[in-house]
Amino acid sequence: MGERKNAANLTSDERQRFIGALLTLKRTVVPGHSLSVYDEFVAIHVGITELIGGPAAGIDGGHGGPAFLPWHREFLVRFERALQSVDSSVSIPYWNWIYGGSAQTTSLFQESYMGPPGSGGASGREILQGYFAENPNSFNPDGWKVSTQLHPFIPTPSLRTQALQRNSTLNPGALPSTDELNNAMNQDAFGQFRINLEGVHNGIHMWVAGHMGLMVSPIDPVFFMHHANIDRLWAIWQQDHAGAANYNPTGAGGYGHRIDDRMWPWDSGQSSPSSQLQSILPAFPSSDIRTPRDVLDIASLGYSYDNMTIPPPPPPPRDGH
Amino acid sequence: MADEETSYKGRKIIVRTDGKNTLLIDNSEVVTRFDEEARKYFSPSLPYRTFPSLVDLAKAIIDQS
Repeated sequence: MGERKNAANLTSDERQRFIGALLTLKRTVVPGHSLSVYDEFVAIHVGITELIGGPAAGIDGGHGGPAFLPWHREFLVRFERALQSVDSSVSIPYWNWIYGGSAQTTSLFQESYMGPPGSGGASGREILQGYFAENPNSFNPDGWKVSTQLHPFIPTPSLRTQALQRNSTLNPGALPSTDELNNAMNQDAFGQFRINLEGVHNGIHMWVAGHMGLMVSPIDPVFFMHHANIDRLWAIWQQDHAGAANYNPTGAGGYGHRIDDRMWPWDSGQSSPSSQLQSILPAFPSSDIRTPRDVLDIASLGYSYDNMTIPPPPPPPRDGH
Repeated sequence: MADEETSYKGRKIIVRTDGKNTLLIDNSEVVTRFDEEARKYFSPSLPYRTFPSLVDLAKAIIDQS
């Protein structure tokens, strides 16, 4: 599938191709489907939290448990395949938020890339410029609109807008510290590693906030860059903790979290969401089955990362130089 | 054991001690999840925050609404 690169280091051409593929998925509706290909991924992410039938009923198979890592790995693989159906050169870039206020973060939140912080609308948090602004502009003649079919799954009334929303101030100083990350990466036991890394991950969602703070979080395409970094960090941890023995050895979590459980929606119809959600989801063939065991090795999934280390943060710039 | 009942900002919070840890705010059930490894509660309506108790979760949901 290719090499996932640091989002801050993409060439101008690589950025354009990535964003171009995002915009194509956003406006492409498969005949007979009700949502665009992009928004179907949002619906799947909502669905994993709201299963009401089958062995995973009442269980979030993608959050708050061991399968947080494998479920999102598979989710990103599927999304990356969709991007590559548009442009085979595209891979999901990762947002290396580890270094806070460095260009690794600040260069992303620009009009000409993933868009600026929120600044408009009744909430003061709507994205008004760039590719992901609601209204058509020179970057995106279609505008990036939150589908109203997703509004029933947005519990916060002020976020039921067609405009993408984010915090109005994205303060790099509030990003997780290197110590917080190392408190996850230095854990030898999978259980504590997952708990700590998911906690750091939660903080990033709340840092961006707006739609990123809810289960419809993939509405904001930054979601995929964020989760590519989480996936990279798991892959780095796996370098020293490889194999099935280092995934959920205690069998924690409900159905979907254990190593050979089927992960919805790649479960041959074992578990099911509400009919309201079912009506906007794509169909999955009964032969399309994935378990955590299937996704433990990124090499076997056909992708890699350009950097599998966490070097120390760059020194802060010195005044007057 | 009796249900745990409290109020917050004029809203009624009930935690049913029925073995399922059902949470109600103003008598409406709130969907909750429990991370058994982290021993923390969360909710699909507030998914990226975790709480040590259902009452703390309920207060955050009320603050957000």
